[in-house]
Amino acid sequence: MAYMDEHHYLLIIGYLEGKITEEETQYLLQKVQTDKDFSEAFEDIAEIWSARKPVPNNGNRANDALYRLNRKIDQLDTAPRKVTGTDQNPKIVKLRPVLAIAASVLILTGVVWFYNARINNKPAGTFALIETHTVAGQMKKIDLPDGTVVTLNAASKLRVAGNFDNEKREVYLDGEAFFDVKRDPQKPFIVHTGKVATQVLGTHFNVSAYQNDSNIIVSLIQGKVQVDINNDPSKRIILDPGKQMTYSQNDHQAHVTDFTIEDITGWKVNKLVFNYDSWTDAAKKLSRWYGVPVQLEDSTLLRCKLKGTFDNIPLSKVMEQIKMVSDISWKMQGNTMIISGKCN
Amino acid sequence: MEDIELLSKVKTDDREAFDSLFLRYYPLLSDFCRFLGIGDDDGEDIVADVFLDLWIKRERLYIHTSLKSYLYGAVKNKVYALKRQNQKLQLLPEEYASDQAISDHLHPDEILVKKERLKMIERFAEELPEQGKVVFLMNWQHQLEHHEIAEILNISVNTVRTHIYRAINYFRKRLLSVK
Repeated sequence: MAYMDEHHYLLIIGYLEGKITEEETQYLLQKVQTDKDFSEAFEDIAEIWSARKPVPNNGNRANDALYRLNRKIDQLDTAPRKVTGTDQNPKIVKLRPVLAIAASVLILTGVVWFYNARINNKPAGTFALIETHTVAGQMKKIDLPDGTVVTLNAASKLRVAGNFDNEKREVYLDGEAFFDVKRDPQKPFIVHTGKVATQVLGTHFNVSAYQNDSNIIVSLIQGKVQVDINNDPSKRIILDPGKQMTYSQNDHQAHVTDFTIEDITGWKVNKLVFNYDSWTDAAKKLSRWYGVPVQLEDSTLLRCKLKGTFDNIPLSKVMEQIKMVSDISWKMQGNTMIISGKCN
Repeated sequence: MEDIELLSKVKTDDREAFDSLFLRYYPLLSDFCRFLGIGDDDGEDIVADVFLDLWIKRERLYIHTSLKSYLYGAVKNKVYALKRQNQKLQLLPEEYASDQAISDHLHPDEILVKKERLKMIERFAEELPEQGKVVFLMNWQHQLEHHEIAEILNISVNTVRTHIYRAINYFRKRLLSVK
């Protein structure tokens, strides 16, 4: 057996672990064919590497160890917890929800013209204990007392009912939010958005709708949700995973379609997503995202739809990119952006 | 969910994220303890201690490399502290002696079986100097990158490479002797 240099050994290991470049692979394959020592070393190392066993997955032991560790932590943590994060909302110390599964609900909603009616319809004194809002371009994470985590998108408002956590967990949303709902079959979690109420029934969900836009959209990723429109049981919709309900504010019709997760949750990772949005809705989205009023100058634009995803880049770059593929132009007038043009 | 995402949730007091991290790393870290020569019970205590520290320090914890390197490094430090405390633990586990005795009496057919080959390599690894063994197992068994091993053991990347190189040379020699 001939000894080889370190570089060649590491190259062979890199190959076996799929970590070397195409160029290095070519070099290695050529060496294996022409160099006997190299080829022997390759076989030996391949043998050693193929003998590698997976790390034992001692799940039961891990769970037992975790249980003991958590008891220790609970003893340490008897003192009330500090409120952390950006919000001043009360937080309840969670007692061992070891493998409790959080349900995820994504709600995006809107409707400027229903907003006032909604406020006025609320029975006095039952809610509005906690209220949080975000301004344009801001995102905020809120911990609810039941362990549910809400991520609030820009220019949105979330109110939590005063009797939250008693029988029902109800919140009122004006805007866009991602809900990570803690499962509790005894206490349904309901998100009120204008005429649409979304109730969590199962374990894993995402619901979505749009704020200030022409549609309210509820999108479900896993589990089941129940969507009630206008409190009318005959219009109740139960969504299955991969389906979304779109409720039009204009004709008050609801329909169910398929969707792509990234299109719905992109904003959470700072991606500005237009998912066949009308220019009217896209303008509102831009305005919320960048905190700049946006005006559409040509009514012909209203018929166009926009599909695309942008990383968190400056507004001017977004507009330049849109301009490259569509027949629009834009300008700033004071702090207002004016978009003109027509559909392609 | 990525480590970094779970860690940031832990920083905001999320116990479920903490549990997920524990369950993700427990098998790896207890296996790591095992090849550092620590029995299962002590290993569990060490891993639990590391996570307890993580929880207590969660708010002011600043991890400048990766969570993985941090956890392995913390386990390693606790193992070495325990070994210093209790010199007896520096002895290799008891099975080692008997395994060693039969290592050269493997039937040739046995080496064809993958399981046997694995045992053989693990046995050869035991024959390496302590640090060489640890480096090799971290790379081979736990698939840690060279730079991660270097960070965890506080040695240079070149030393890591040299250990791996020497281990393989040694194994090739040993494999030749049993073939």
